[in-house]
Amino acid sequence: MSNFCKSGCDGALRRYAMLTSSPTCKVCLGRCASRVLHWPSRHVTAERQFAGARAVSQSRTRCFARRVLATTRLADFFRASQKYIAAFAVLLVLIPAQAATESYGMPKLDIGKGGHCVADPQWMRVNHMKVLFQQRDETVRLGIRDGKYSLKNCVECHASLRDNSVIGRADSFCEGCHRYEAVRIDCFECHSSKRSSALAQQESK
Amino acid sequence: MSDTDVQRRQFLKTSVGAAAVAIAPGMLLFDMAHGKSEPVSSKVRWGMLIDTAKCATGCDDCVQACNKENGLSGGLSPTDSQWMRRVDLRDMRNGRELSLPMMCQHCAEPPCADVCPTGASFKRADGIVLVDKHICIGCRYCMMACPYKARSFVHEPLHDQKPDVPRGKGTVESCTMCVHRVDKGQQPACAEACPNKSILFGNLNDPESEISKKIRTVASTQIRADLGLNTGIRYQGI
Repeated sequence: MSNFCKSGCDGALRRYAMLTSSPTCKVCLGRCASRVLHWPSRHVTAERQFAGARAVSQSRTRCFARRVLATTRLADFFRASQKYIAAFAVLLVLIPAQAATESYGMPKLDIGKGGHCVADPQWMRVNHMKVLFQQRDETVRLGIRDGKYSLKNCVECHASLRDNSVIGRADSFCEGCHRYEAVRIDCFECHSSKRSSALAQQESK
Repeated sequence: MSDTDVQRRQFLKTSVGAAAVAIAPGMLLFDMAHGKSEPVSSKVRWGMLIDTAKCATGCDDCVQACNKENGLSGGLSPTDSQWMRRVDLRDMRNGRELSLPMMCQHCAEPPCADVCPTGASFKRADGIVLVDKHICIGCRYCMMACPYKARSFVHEPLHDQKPDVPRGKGTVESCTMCVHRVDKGQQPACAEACPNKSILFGNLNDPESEISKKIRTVASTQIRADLGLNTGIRYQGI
């Protein structure tokens, strides 16, 4: 992640930032308004973070547009045909706007049975650890066992149909993203990573 | 009424009946599988009354059931956890022999929770004493504080834990009174497994429950009652 432009610029600029091993982008010089939103504070609520992530993807495209306009300055005769350039820029803006949230080099996962998740998948990517922590305490301390953000339920739906597990392979539902983000996952040192219905079947055999 | 109308009525009646038959067990299963949505309350206090006269010498079905339910090894290696054990007693003066199961006594004033530096050992509102292993740092103060030697420390990494009973290295654990079963409305595994029904599980706070009625009528003992811990596990005939 270190070779991302912190101002929220696009891929070509990422490469540039990487070459100069500078933490900020040399082209937009960190003037991009998205900077604050790109690294949200730890303490803002989950909902606000989600809104922030959306704003980042929008401002990322704004920054991209600025770069396109900046490059045109190199060739003066383009000024005459600014209308066309603007149309081209709009096209360029639209393409990454769609791609920014979904396929930003994200790992391909084996989502098991899948189906309708308990919440919006993008929201879950950002907030699953918070809701799991919350429910974990309610279950252990208060004995509330029907909450919708249950780790057991995650595993039940999303364990791979091949090995009934959410960890162990590069495309496993939990491990896939956690490897990509280099975040250690220690839930499954204690909790079962296997689909419980499959375990029950094994036992009855 | 025309013939078509009669047929239509008949069809509607049968389809409503069939739908009810199809949905009802599903609803029941859904309720059972999902457990309660309310927090446990102190109106309930879970406890057990163990009739040692019915506890057969040499029988350890309750211990086996406990090991199976909670995924314990049953002592394959010397450091493996033991949540429940059978204790054999013999009166040296008259030779009277006695067996009884021994486990966490689920005290009303649990010393383990008193000494816990992180708040991991706690008593749930319904009287079940548990370890929150997310918070436990494995200091083992609670093991030293427990007068019943009921707790174990997990020394080695574990694999293939039960989905309902997460257990892991570096934490202390003990009898949970099968809290995952109790929350589903079932009995603890040991009470269910006892062939002589010598373990009676129930709500000590409900005067109409079987266990309260029995405690009112027969002499029952708390082990180390002198410590004033008000245990949830009571013994009869010792």
